[in-house]
Amino acid sequence: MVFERSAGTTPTLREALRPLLEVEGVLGGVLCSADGLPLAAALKDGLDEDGLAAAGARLGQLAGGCLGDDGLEIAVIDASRLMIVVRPVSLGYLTLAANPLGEMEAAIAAAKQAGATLEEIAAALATAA
Amino acid sequence: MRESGGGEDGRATAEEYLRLLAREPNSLRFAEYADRLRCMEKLADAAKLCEHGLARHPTYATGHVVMAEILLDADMPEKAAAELHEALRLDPRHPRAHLALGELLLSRGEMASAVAEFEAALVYSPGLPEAEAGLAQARGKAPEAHHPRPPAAAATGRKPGERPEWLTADNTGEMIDLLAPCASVGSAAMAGEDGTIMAASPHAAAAMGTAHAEVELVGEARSLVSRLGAGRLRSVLISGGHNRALYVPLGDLVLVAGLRPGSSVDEAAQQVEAAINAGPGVSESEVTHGV
Repeated sequence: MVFERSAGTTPTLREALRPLLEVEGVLGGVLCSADGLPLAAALKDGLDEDGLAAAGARLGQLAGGCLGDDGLEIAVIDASRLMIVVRPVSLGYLTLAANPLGEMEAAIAAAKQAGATLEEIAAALATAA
Repeated sequence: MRESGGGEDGRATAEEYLRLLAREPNSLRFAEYADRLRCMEKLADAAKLCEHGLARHPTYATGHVVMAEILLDADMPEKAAAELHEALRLDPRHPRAHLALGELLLSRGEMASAVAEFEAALVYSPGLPEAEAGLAQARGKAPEAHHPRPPAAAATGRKPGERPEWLTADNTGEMIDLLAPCASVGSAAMAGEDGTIMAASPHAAAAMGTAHAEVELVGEARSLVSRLGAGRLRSVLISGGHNRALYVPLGDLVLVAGLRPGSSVDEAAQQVEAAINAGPGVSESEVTHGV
């Protein structure tokens, strides 16, 4: 997955998520605040943006509670019709939806890469502010 | 029919529907309310409401599809198939009916027929993720060709999240023994619905006091998956610091498997699933190779 941006501009959060749609088996992603409010999304048709955002935040909080001091790096919820990957980012949580028959490792790698791009954007926005 | 959870929400939904019915006696929204009750696992209430609606609107195809999904959740596949055939007789272009029929055929191992149904679902609803996933699996071209992750229903009749027939509250130690030879699993524990550890490998016993947080996470994940219409929860993987763990719901029990550093999570999930489905008496090589 290669993230492209125009020279001299800070990409939008949605632009950071759009490359997820090109990853095989990935159905898109939602960035939400820590309390589950959607901030940006790039999802294929038929996926529930608000529902995924709320689920990602709730599951991220609970999964973090299981790890204690170690802190959550990634959580994967594997269901028969959808795989959901939750990645904490500084703005909240990135929730990625993927094909339930795909490999978890591939979905985790996609979430980590998108998460890193989101962090770059968040840092750029903070500097600009 | 099985009834669990969602008591207050279930009653509120049924009452909301009755109010709607008083305002709009001919409303077709019975299917929506029945589907909501189904997602709350209030299957008897969902079936009753759907039957009532279908009695008034017997030619409403979506009503028959929702009834079929209720029957599938209640492990009544023959009656569900009849409802799906009726839905498709009424509306041959109904994507959800084709999808549900495809999944039913897939679970029976009737791959050619399943492919036809998934393809039909995609014709009438292009890009439908569940149909694409089902089609890939039915054609044998899914990524699990490298890491086979067959749905439990197709392999053993056990649906994801269900307790295997061999496992009881009295033999949870058998599950720990089954996982001992798994190369990807370093520790294992079985937790009850209240988070109490019922059995554990020596390493897990030393590291875990209770599993309250883990059981709560699995319960919430199961509920959210249902609410999203994402099917049934198969497992939850969490990773952070040096810890990686796989939580697998088995009815009202939860299996907690600590993964070895550097192991593949896909292989670990495959080995754990194979051990659960195999049950006691299986050879070590069958478990370690995920057969």
